[in-house]
Amino acid sequence: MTSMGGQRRLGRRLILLIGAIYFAFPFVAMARFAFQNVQVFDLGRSTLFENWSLTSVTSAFGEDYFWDALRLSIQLALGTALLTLFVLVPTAVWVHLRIPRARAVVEFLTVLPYVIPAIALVAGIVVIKPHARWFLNSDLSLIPFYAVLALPFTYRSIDAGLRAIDLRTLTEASRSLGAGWNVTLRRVLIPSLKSALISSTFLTVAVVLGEYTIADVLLKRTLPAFMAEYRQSDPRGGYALAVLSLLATTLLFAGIGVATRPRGGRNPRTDEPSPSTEETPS
Amino acid sequence: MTSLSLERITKTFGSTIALDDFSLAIESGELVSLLGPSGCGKTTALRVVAGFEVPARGSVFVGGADVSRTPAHRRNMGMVFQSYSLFPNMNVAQNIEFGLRTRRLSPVERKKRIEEALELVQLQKQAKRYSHQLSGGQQQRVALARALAIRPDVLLLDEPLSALDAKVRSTLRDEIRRIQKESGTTAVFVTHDQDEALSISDRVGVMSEGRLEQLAPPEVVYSSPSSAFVARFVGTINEVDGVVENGTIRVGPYQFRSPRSGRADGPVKILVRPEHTRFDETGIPAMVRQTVFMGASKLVDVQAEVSARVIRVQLPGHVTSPEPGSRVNVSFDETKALTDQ
Ligand SMILES: Nc1ncnc2c1ncn2[C@@H]1O[C@H](COP(=O)(O)OP(=O)(O)OP(=O)(O)O)[C@@H](O)[C@H]1O
Ligand SMILES: [Mg+2]
Repeated sequence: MTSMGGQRRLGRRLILLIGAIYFAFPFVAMARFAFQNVQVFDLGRSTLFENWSLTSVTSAFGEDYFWDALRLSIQLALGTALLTLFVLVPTAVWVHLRIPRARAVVEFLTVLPYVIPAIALVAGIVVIKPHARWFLNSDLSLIPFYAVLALPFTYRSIDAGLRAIDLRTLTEASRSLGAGWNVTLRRVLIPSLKSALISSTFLTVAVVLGEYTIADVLLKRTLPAFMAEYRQSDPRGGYALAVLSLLATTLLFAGIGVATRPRGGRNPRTDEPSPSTEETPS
Repeated sequence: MTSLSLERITKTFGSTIALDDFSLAIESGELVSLLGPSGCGKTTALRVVAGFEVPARGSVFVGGADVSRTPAHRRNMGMVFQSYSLFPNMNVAQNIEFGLRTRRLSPVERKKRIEEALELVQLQKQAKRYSHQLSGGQQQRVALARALAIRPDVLLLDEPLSALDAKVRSTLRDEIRRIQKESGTTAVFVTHDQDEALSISDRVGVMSEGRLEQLAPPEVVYSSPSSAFVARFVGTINEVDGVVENGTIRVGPYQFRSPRSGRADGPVKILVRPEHTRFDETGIPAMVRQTVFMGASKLVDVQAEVSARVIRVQLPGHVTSPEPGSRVNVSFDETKALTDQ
């Protein structure tokens, strides 16, 4: 029994290790290409610790366009996350409470943006462009498009969060205590869905930082657009930015994850002498 | 202060009739339990009172005022659910405070009520805990405290004990009753456990298929069930086959007139509790199969000669019971026996 469990644990660690190597290798290779002042064909095991420097990104940081693009992308990420929070969360709650039988249909609908190639969306945009200039002229007009692009991921994570809580009971408990829908959503449901919303936000940011096609068609200078352009003139600088943006998002969300750990400690019920005796107050 | 009455409520889900012209009147400070088999509409009745279900027809009155059109969050009902319902992002005190905040009470008043509520359920020490740090029984006590802190007009409990183990269930049951009595809150307690219903209630409402079969004090429901359904559902009961002839009920040589049966001639089932049977020369001839001593009473199972049925006879504990294998005659307390087709 124990040896079987031990074996299983070992197997799990092995898989984790293989996975980590699979992702780490290209990342390390990219980082070395970007941050080591070593000729590409000399990048080998012997040169692993040679000539690391940040010079490749300093020139990118010097460009005004970089900072504008960064600001726009942050705005887009925030805007998309907020739009998701204010529109998608109430919708998902409503679907779960009122038309639970339609969940499969809604789930299918939300995958469509993933199944339909981005180029089809672009074609659509091209068609409406002449009629919606007043809207598309604004840089923030990308927000609704990004919310739709992120939908397959954000809906799935919110849906999983809703399935993990007893939505009906929590909602009714809140209502019976005198809270209307707004208060219930704000003070009970959204806090209960915290980890689902964090992962949904993470995925939103990932989509926003990775989207290039639509930004390019609408001539918006987002960070991915900047990086794509910059890579043409300075390949190492372009990759250096990519590595940094990857690191920055990872750190950001590791930080959020730590900050939002469940309160009250991990398993405090066990650090009490005997909780069962409390059941029968004399 | 606050009575509750449901008047002629009909609620359907598609083709299912969950409540069928259902009426129920509860006096102020009274605890009424709704008892019935699964699917008979107990939860639906409670949810109609709470405002979570809108009935197709009928009205709900609280303290004489019609609340049928009042949304759930303005009804001032305290509700305790079968499943754990504490808000996971709030600790015990904050859970209790939730309903006080929605009522915009001052911080001083809120603090006072939280302390009162915690004391009521004896969880002062756990005030800062989160739901995942509490046992099931503690969680239900917090849910009760949270529901009572708002001083509800009516307290609604939907099988609040069913997720708990037997020992916790009986202590918490008594605690709910004590607290309900002390606070004088009108309460509806839904359960499908007859012991729970009989022990906790001022009156028990037995439901079947969306209707109220009988609403009476526990002793009355037990000793004078108004229908065969109630008799079968509450307590143990003997069923004996007989026939009606000219208004007289006959089982083999045993015959009697039942004041509670106006059945036409034909076959009939007689329903009678073990404590309403006795050994008596004029009764049904039977053979003793076994005797079980229960302390205060003795149960004697006899096999009737005229039918294959076993009849259970309950005797006081001190009476000497017949030996297994011996022949006896069993008759009924005719005023208590019920009949059914
Ligand atoms: N939301 C719903 N949709 C469809 N049918 C429902 C719904 N809620 C209840 N019903 C049906 O209405 C009837 C009464 O249900 P209800 O939940 O009130 O029963 P109950 O007496 O509480 O049963 P239990 O002891 O199993 O909790 C059942 O036939 C049930 O299937
Ligand atoms: Mg129920």
